[in-house]
Amino acid sequence: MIVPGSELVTKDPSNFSLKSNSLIRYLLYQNNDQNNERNLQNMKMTKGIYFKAKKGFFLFLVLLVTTISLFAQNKTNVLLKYSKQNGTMRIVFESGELFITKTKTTISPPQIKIEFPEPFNLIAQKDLPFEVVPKDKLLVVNLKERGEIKLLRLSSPARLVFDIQKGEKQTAQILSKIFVLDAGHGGYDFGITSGDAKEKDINLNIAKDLDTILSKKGKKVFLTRNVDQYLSLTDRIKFTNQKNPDIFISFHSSMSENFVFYIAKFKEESLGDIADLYSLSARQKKYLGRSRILSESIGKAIKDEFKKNVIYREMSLPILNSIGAPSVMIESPSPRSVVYDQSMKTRLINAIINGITTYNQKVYSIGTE
Amino acid sequence: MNTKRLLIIILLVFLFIGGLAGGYFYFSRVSSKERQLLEDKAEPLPKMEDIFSLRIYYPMGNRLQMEERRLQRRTTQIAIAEAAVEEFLKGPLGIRMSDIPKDARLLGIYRDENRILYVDLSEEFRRNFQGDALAEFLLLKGLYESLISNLDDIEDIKVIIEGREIETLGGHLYLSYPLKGIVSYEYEYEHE
Repeated sequence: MIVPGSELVTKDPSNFSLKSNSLIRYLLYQNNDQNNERNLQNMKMTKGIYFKAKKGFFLFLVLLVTTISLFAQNKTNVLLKYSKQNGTMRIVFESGELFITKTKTTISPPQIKIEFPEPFNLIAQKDLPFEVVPKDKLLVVNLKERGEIKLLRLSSPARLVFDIQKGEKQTAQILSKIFVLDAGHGGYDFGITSGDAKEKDINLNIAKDLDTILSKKGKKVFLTRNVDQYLSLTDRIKFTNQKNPDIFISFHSSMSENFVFYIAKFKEESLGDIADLYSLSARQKKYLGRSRILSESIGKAIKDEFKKNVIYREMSLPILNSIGAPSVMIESPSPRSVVYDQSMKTRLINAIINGITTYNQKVYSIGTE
Repeated sequence: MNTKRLLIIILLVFLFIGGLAGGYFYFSRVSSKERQLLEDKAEPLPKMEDIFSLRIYYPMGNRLQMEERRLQRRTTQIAIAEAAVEEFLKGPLGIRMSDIPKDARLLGIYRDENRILYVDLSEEFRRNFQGDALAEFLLLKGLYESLISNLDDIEDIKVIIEGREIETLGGHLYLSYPLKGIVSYEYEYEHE
């Protein structure tokens, strides 16, 4: 073993101080050597831990990246297809049966909003003639032109089909000018309830939505109530007759799964003084024919839209008997059997609008209005 | 000393057993007396001529269904009217979910000089009613028919709630007028 400082001893043996220094150094070195070995061992151990930690961290990173990519791959694919023929544009969203069934849609031309049950991967071709904005569970389709949008839900494979007819129907117009819409019940009078769903709220929402659409078309619309408040039948009747409307619609809910349409009913022969007193407010008598046309027109439009049986009834209801205008009371299916989401309400409003259009065409063509 | 203690213990045991036996005989005699008293109090079964039947009309789906109820004979018209309303409020037999408002009670029945029968019902009749126009119509028609078909010399029926006149029961029909004018108009319906 070469001893540090030994060269100095050979080169200058008379130099005692140097010699003794070397010895001390040698002795110290021997002592340091032992320490160094221990240090070396410690260093090796630290290095080992460091490499193990590095390896672990690397593995963690790999695992994280793999999980994220796997998670990303778990998103349900939604395939967007598009076609155009004879002025009708068709947009199709295709995916799994359950995924499509739980989808909520809101149509407000020129925009379509689709809310899927969970985040999704949109697979679509490039250069679409409309804007598609996916965000989390929501997909917004912004069309370049306004048009009539029809939604179809089809299965095998499950898909949402939107047929967009360019431009709004010009042939069918609403000719009636003044409308009174009556949202049944309100305040402490809840009407029919099912869990959190209350008839008074459903009636008000439908009346308000129809008000928005009719107002946009330039019609004068009055609501008997536009907040959650109790209103007596007498107050509703008084308010409506003051406005002198062309059409009066009262919204209620049925106990059944069907739409039920009511028009007024009168009995020809006298029932006695008290019954006659009750019939005194029979302002509807004059309008009964037109009320029947209105009821059947809206009823048919609803039947076409919902493919459900529609029931027509004639009953001596104060809210109909006392109104001096073509009047109908529409009972929507019970909140116990139908969920009144935006899609359901939009379909209902569109059907009512179509029904009013048909009524106007019929009434004006026979010249009764 | 020991013999004395033993005698005391035996005496105590006898006293305890005696007490138990006495108590048992006393209470068994009292309960048998009470039973006898109750049996004495129970009315004998009414004879056939003491029974009369009421026709009660209940809403059932889209129509009224008549049920015959056999009750002990009432002599006055008011007592018959009370029985008819009480039977009506009980709802149809064997149906758990009837269209009759839950917990509704009859508070009183009065007749005025115009032969109008005032039926005073508790607040539950209004509060617990949940239904559409047809359900409300059938409920009022059922009450009207249940009274008119069992009573003589009544011109009309008027329903009041907690002694007060109210405008409507469920937001579809007037209750501020007597029932005949409201329920006599038969509704018609058709399926397209």
